[in-house]
Amino acid sequence: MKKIEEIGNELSIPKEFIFSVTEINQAISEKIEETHKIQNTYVLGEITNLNKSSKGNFFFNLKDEKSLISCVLFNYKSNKIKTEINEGEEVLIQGSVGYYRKKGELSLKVNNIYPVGIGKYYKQKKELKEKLKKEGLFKSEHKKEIPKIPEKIGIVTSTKGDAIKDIVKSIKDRYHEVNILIKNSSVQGEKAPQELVQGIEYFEEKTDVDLIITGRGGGNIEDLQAFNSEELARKIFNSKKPIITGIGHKEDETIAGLVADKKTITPTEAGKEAVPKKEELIENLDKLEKELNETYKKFKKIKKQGKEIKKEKKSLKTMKVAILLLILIILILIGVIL
Amino acid sequence: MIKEYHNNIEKVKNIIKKLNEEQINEQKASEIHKKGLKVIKNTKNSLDIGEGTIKLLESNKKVKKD
Repeated sequence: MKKIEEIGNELSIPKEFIFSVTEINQAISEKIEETHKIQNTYVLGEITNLNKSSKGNFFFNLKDEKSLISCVLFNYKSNKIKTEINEGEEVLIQGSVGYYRKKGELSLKVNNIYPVGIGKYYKQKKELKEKLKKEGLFKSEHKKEIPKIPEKIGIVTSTKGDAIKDIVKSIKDRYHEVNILIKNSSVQGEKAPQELVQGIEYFEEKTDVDLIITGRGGGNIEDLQAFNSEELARKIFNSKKPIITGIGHKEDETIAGLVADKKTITPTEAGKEAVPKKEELIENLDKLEKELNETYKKFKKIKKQGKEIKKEKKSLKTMKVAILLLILIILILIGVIL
Repeated sequence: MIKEYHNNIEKVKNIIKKLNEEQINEQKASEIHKKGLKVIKNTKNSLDIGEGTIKLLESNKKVKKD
């Protein structure tokens, strides 16, 4: 303090305007703590630079278009938060702005995190997945058998997207004669779950299709939301007809896929799983026909050989008798001569 | 759906097995051989399962017939 006073005198600066680092940090800290607006408040932003320490504390930035703020979520709080914390997710954070005097660092101390936007969909999907898993909807024992050669296939998807073209093409490439019925449905948006369910119901009740395919191309979790709906999941589970899903790309996991009797990774794959290659079926029959003919030929050959052996045996027996007779005659002749 | 396809394959395999066992007479062998060929022919024919139609149900209109 004495040093500050001396410097103040030297430079003609009133001592109340000169602070030590500790003092200024303390002043900032006090100011922050008494500003109610930034205490126990809500901040909307996107999570970036997410890091988790070995002690289980989360450190990340929350940003919007123009600014960012450092955030810290201590382990004793994070254990109570149900929301998954993911990089790039938009969230609403409840917390208080705090100031770490030692380092002069300002951060938002997180009390709770609420998912919004995409994060909301992740949360909903996770919760539904856990719920349906508990109920046993994903168990393999509930999967209906996919017919090996379906004559008629029903497809529920949008007739405007590429998915329908991919499914139809892959079916036709493998088995041209299969009849296909298409029921148009939204595959994203509010109405999509209900329309997909109605499409499946239509095929179940009003057609004689052997199999139903539903799906769509790739998209983000929001786009795929219809395929993560409980309504559709339960319809698939309770469907009287077997259902194959072909949704999104390789990495996309949907609830509909988990419940389906057969899950494939794309619409094209769904078509492939639905029907065998007709060429291969014919090839199998051709091979079998060849094997049957060869076996029969071999059978006849063996039988013929058997007959010949029998014949030879017979002639050998006759020869034996003749020789015996001859010997007998010779012996009689010798007896007569003697 | 051709439920019979795989059953028929099994039938022919059984015939082949019988022929390999050689426990039957020639007349019986000829009969089951002919039967096997007939099963194969019928199965091939049954693979022509449909007309390959693609029908859009919304309009109930056939959009393509191959």
